[in-house]
Amino acid sequence: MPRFPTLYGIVVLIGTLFTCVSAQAHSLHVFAMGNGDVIDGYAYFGGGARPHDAEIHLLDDTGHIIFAGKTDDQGEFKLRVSHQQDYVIEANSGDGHIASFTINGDELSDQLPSGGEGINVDVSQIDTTSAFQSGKTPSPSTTIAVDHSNAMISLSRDELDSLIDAAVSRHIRPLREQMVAYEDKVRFSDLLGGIGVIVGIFGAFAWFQAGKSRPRQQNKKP
Amino acid sequence: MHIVDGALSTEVVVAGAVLAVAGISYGLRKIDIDAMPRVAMMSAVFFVASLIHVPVGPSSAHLIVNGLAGLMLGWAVFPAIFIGLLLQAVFFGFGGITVLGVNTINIALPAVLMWWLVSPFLARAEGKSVLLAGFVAGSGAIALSSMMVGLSLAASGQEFVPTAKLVVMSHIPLMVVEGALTAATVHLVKKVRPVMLAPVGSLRSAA
Repeated sequence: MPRFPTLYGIVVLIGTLFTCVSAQAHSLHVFAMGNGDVIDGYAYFGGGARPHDAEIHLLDDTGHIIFAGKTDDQGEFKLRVSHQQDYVIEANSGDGHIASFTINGDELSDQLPSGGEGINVDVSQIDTTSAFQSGKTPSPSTTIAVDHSNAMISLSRDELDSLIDAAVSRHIRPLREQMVAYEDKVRFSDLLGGIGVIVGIFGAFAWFQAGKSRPRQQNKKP
Repeated sequence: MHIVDGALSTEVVVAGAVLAVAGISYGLRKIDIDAMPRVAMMSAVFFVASLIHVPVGPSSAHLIVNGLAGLMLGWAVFPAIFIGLLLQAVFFGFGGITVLGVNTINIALPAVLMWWLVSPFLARAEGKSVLLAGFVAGSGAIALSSMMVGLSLAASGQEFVPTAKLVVMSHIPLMVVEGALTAATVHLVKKVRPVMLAPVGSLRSAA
């Protein structure tokens, strides 16, 4: 008879485990990548849903807020920055969930002046719906001169650099998204480890209590 | 439901920690050796339940099961929730270490309240009213918890009404799901093993 609740508990626990292996955490994450002079990315919940109009803050490497804005309906944002340096983007969905993501200065175009202490960084938000293609082009000043007569393309060194940067970052992006998503995923081993720790904690506690109560039981028996 | 590090002001974090320590130490004193497996089991269920998702419009909410844990554990729900939260923070990055106290209070206090309100009724209830009591405890605990989340965010400088609205609204479907789940579980437990619903600490004298 006393074995029953334990058995029931184990069955419930195992049943729960199997239904939730693929489930994910309800937590806010943010992904962003630098491309040319644009930082674009999106905020998302662990389950894949996107927050609407979440607050976003852009912080410089000293932790000062240099820009505050909101994501669009898709949870996306796109910011144009004036200096090359490390940035941190922070998203806040307003219900106690906050996430941050660091953008390495190397991802941004080398042609931007490098930022640092005491330099005012200009940040402007780009409307993600109307200016859709602006982020794809490496920089607004890049023009490609095409000589139609012999199909030769002449580019300056800088233009070539930014074109290569844009192409590489476009191809790397899905890979980085996948890696970030993989890190956020709740793993089965974590789950089992956590349950093991709970059993251990309460087991130790029970052992301690059993040790305390044993002399009393011995006194009662005779 | 899990507030993360950095969302709350220091005063709220400290106040939460102090209250949580008080609750946990009171709860620990209530646990005797017979109740130990029950507390451990509910702690594990709480730990795992947060991975089960209920789709809520565009977003999703996860199960908390604090109403059920409250009915089963009474005051002992404090240590159970605390350990579950601690491990969720360490393993999954839900919530955070500094806000553990606030999160423990937000989840465990409504559980104790629901236990205090519902369990006298549940002890006498039979048939359909068991289901009703379970539903009230399950959904009530979520409602109170989400209000307390709103309150803690408000105490940290956010405006109370819009914040609370946001949190409570997003948890309404969860209230229904948790209510149904708690009702079903309580109904089953009451049928097969009613002693599991007896207050923690009373088992030895009952046996």
